[in-house]
Amino acid sequence: MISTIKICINLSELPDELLIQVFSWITPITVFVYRPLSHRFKRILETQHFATCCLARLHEADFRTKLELMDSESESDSDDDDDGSIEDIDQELNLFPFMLPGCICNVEDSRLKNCRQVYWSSTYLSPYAPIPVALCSLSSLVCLVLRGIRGEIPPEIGRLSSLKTMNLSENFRLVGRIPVELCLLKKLVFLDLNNCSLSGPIPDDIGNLAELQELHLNYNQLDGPIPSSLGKLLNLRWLNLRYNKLNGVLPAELGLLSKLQRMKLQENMLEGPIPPQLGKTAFVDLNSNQIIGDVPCEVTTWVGYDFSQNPRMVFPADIPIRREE
Amino acid sequence: MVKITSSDNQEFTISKEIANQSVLIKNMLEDVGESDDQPIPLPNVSGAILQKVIEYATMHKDDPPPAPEDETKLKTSEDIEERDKEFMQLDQGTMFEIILAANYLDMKNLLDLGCKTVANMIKGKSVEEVRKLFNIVNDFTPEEEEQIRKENEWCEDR
Repeated sequence: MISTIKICINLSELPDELLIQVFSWITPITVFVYRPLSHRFKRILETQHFATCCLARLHEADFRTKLELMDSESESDSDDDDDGSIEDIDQELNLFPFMLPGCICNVEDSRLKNCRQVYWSSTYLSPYAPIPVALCSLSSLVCLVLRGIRGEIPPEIGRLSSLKTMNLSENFRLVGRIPVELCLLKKLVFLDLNNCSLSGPIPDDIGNLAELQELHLNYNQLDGPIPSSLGKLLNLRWLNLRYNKLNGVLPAELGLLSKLQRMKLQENMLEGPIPPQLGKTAFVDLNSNQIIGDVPCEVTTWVGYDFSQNPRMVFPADIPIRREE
Repeated sequence: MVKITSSDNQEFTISKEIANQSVLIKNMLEDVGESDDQPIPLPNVSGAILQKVIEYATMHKDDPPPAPEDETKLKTSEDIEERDKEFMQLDQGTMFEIILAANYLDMKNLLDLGCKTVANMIKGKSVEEVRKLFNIVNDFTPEEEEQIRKENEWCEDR
């Protein structure tokens, strides 16, 4: 056979469509690192078509993986969220340029309409964008993760009726109250608003979120009492309200949460006695509050418990008082 | 059997089940009918590349039909069969020509394999390394590049 002359081609000679296919296989959060390759690559990676191709690779499994990863994170008790662990999780998953100009607004696009997950950090093009109300029209959305947003949570958020995961954590420019409409999201399993600048009370209707397994509202300026309706969240495994300005009596209903594994309420201004049932919850931290009365008699060791910095609490003599090291 | 000819007029005779892996050829065969034994011209693919493509198609001729899309399955570029990995141990030129050919011949599995392989070559590398690897010319001014890198900070160094 006569050997043929082969014309060597390189990556840049592939048409846009094929480059889009190549790059769509790279994890969306990391793929944008390659925007500075050249003008052409930047243009391709910012098209809506590219966004749609990435979208086709997103599946519900991501949402599960995320929950699983969150679980393992919980086990290691690393809710001092400044260690970047949440970012690590996102890197495994998908962050998605829905809010590129002209992109998110086009919810008429049928692919977007059926979109199930949005991962986004908007610092990448327009630093600290408000949550686009158009986003709230994506009624099939299951997972919403946003970083780099500012302003208030719009009441329209209540229209995301399929949502199971909402993570708006670490948005220190996210202000205002938690809208009561958020409590319409009855399928929510995971709600994380930690490290924002939210104020006002926790809505009483939070007890409507019957599927909720994790509630993280730590590191905000929330005030008012802990709603007793939290006692209706029978699936709740994680409750983290630490570092807020919550006051009032610790509701006895918290003792009804039989699946609760961890409760972190430290650094608030909570009063009253500890509901005795909480002695059965494995990890309870009420450090630095105004709790009064006795330690529940079920508590026989300080491992997993911290009730220190409560000047009016009575500590049993047979358990040495020390913080868990 | 089906006859196909490459851009450089090399003729290949392949079985129908191999030919049918290309949606393009399959449609052509349906159009011309069974009786026609005229070779099908493929003016966009060279003989050397066509030979590789046939090698791939032969390797996969006994594959079961693809399962319906699994909603819960993660699609990642790491998901490549070992024999396909070996098949893609090629120089860059051949690799890109195979991608072009797979696109032209409408062979989704081969196209995905090619694109995943290139994606895996890019993954984990810095912008400079990727430019060097694929001879990409940086046409940004230093100021422009700095600006994009600034915007990129959130997705780097994680």
